[in-house]
Amino acid sequence: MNPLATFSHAGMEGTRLRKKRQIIKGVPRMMGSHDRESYWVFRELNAEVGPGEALIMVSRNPVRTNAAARAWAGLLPIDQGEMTRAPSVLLLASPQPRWVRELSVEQTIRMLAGIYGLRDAQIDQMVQPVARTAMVDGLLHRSIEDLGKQIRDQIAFGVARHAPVSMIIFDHTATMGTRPFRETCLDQVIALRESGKAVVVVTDKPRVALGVGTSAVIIRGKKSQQVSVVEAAEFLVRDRVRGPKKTSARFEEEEDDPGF
Amino acid sequence: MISDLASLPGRRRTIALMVRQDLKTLYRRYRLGFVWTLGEPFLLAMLMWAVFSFIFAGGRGIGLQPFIVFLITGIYPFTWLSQTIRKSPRAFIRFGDVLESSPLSPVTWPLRMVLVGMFEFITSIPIILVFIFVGGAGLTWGTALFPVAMAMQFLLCLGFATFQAGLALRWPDIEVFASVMTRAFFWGSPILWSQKNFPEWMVPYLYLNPFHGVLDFYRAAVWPEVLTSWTNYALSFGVILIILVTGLVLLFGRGVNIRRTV
Repeated sequence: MNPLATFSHAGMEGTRLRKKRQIIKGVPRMMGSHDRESYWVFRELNAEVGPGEALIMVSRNPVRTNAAARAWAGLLPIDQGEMTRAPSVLLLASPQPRWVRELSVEQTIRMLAGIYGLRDAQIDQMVQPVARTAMVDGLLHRSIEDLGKQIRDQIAFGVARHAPVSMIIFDHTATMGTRPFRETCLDQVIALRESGKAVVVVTDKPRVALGVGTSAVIIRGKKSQQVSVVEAAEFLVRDRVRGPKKTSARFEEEEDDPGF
Repeated sequence: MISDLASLPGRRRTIALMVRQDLKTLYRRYRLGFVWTLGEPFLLAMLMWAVFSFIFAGGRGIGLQPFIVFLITGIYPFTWLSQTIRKSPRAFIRFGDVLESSPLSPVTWPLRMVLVGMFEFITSIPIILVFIFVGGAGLTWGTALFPVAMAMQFLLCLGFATFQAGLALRWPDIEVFASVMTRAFFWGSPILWSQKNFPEWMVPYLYLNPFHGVLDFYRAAVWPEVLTSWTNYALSFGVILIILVTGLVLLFGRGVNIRRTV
């Protein structure tokens, strides 16, 4: 089957604040500065996803996976290599409270679907199915502020579940909402995949990777690597044991002077 | 750029929801809420009227009579323009998190601010009408130009909003400059004064300020004699188009990716 979206030797440059090492009273410190430096967010990324497949994207640095997801969603360009995009893509980002403040549940469904790029005519067809999936069909006129974050997340997930698009990207959003709802999320992602849609899941949870993935890629700044789903899950387990990445490590490695 | 702009009508209900939400958020922190939309320019007009009535003899020789109607018909449209100018440098900063993950056109966010101002202006129209009738003035055939004035002001505000929102990402200082520009428009537009105070040869140059043409079309509803040569209005409209196109180029120009800059 032909892939819907591909990355071929793709790379993306970004900028970040340069950190300076300073010695204060003999103690070395990494200090922030206003200088910016460019760096490769990801490089040599090869990946593809076709209809009925679920690609897992993992990385130690969530900026890398987020950038790759946004490139496939058409929000960011790549600076190296080639990329093809699916004709219609929905990137499911976690909805922020101020996106939907002051709205009712029904308006929240319409607003989130609109923010995720769907047109008014498409949204009209989706309100009821999304409400059923999000378990809010009896609450359409309630204020979303009264119901809280988890219901907002469920609505966002419901929008992704029913959106008339060929590819869906879950950016750390493959499981969301209340506990009973979360337990159904992976089955719904699998149902999406089996309905012939291309699914991309950015996650840091081994359970999610193993549960829905058909292929995987580990995204790194120097060279990304296509791996099996099991290897991606192992990578996530190792990453969890190792703890969060120390951003200062790079500067310490590059330093010539080993004096302290 | 064309496809981005063409997609907006198909998302009008989403944009309307955004505007409704902005209006509610804007006024929820005040006890009198939405009343301030009409109250603030009303109080400003009253203040100006009081100052000019008691100090400058009823505004005679500065504007047209009745002076309070002249002020009201200038200040409410100006409020829409000044809000746009003041708020638009922060458009992408304020909505940056949505912009990062939404494929909606970047012009949606400045447009949303312009529409909030436009809605507030529309709600002020009954007050303007009350002042026209209570102030002893009446409506003339020039009322037909009112929708044209609104359309021109919408384009002018959208131009400023896109221009400043796009520029603020590269040059944040525009935010400081915006308050200076608001004052420049207040004193440089015929809100307090009318063009009859200027020599004949100078009048066409006044229309380089595009808001001058817009205000004339609003005021023609009461004073059709304010209308001058159509070439002057063509000049104002031309400046509006230049501002709008420059703003759109800042958002959609070659090599520009607003989401990368935010």
